[in-house]
Amino acid sequence: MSEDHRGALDAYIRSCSDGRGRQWLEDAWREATAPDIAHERLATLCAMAARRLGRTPCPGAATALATPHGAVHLGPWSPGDAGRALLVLAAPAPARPERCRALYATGDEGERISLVRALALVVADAGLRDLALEAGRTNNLALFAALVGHNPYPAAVYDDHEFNQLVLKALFMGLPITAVVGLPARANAELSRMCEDYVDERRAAGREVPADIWLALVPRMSPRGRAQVMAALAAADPAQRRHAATAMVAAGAADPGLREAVEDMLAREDDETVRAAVPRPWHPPHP
Amino acid sequence: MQYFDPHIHMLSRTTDDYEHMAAAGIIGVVEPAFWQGQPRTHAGTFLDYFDSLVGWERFRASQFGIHHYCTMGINPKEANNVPLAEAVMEALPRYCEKDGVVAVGEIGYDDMTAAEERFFTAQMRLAMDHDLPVLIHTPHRDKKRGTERSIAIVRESGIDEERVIIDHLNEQTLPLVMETGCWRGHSIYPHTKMSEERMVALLQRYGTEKMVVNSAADWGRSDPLKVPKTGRAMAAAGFDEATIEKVLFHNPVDFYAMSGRISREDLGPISVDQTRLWEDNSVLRGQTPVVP
Repeated sequence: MSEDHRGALDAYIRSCSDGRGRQWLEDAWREATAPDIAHERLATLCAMAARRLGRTPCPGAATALATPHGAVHLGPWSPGDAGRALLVLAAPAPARPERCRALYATGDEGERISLVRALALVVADAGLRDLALEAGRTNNLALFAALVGHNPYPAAVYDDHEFNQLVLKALFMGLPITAVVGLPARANAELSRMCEDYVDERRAAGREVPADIWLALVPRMSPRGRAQVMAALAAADPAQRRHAATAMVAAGAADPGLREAVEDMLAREDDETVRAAVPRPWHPPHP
Repeated sequence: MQYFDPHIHMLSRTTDDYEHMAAAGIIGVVEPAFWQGQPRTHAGTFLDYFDSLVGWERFRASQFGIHHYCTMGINPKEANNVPLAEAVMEALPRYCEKDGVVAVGEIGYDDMTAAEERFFTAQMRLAMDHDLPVLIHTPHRDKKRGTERSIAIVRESGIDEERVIIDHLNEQTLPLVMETGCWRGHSIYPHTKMSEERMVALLQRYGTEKMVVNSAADWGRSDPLKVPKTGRAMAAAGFDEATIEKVLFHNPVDFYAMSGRISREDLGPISVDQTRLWEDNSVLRGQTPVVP
């Protein structure tokens, strides 16, 4: 698999790096593939990569790479991210998890973000689950977002408890869980229970509930959660109404009452953006 | 008025400080690697400290709309633990390549021992190898002699004097540095080192060229608002806005800009840095900024 990724990453970097960047990449690749490269040298290259290759995503060059864990979209990647992934992929496959861990250990925020984004490209199995879990303990918003958003690796290798903690922490940190890969498929009753408790806790404190919490809460909710989301249909914040209704529509196949409640709500809804955003698959398309 | 504090140890400061600094107009800081009040006993403690400077503290500052940069080095006090200093020296090259690192420092003399001189000299070489400017700390005791010897080390190293700042200067040591091409740093402290009024007098006497002012605030009695307070003292003494901005913003930024990793443009107006963190990643949910 990795041959393809190397080519795609290399092409991505070349599409928006200047001549000096491309030369640096060639030299760095030669060094990084040498079997005896010292960690200090590799770590130095990793630190330099973003400065040498570029730290903003290349517009129009975005592509998706297929991995056993799901697709990795290069959209948010910078050439520096891709260069750091190549530094890991320069090692033979069996040595990659260790190289990735070592670079993470000596990396700064930007390097760690790059490595976390690359997890699904670096290993074909759950061999870096430990590193993903360690990264998930950060309180750094940017690093946590690289793990939780648009990243297929956690959902592919985490157990339910780990996945649930990841989703709840994203909600705590104010990150949109719409970006969590695998959320509908990994929804479970314990996640619903945790979200229901969180809604109660926030309301008891007189605080707002994250508007998209309903996407995690509704799929396997209890009667308590059902009452909570019904109430959210009448929330003052349009984002609350939109996410609550969207989640209820998805769960409505098993619970027709949910769809009826959404129909009633949409009939009264005066916010065009909410009406437009809520899918109604049971409605025949307009002629 | 916008300010830049080119020498402040934020790791030891609170979020209240960050809020007050942002409210007072400070939009960027440099945090030099220094000692932490008691000597470290493991190289690993140093490395975790360095990681905080390029990582967590940088992120923390960004939450208050403040750009955070740092310098890397082993300070003169702890250079006297030779096995420790040797181990730290081995890791410094990769830290010198980290994004937020804009100089090697604080290096220099404390007790003026042979070990201090050895690592001072070695780190001048390190800075030249990584094309970084140098921040030199001058000692509290025997300051004049320490400053003279520091200048001698600079000259022996062969580094371009324009790429060196000599810090914590006073009425006695500033004239020595005025004879060199080095930049001139002054730390404004509540009770020691230098006051706002004395600083104003130095600016009136020696001019504003290469003159830099910082708070050097750390874990001791110090004041993270000394740069804006010096701005007020300058205004009261009749300095115009452009001159105040030159000394308290452009000069320090231009010095560290020789690293190629910071510029006046990088410090353009920001509200809160979360926007920067997220512009390449469409996952921000329009969080409410913490400060202004």
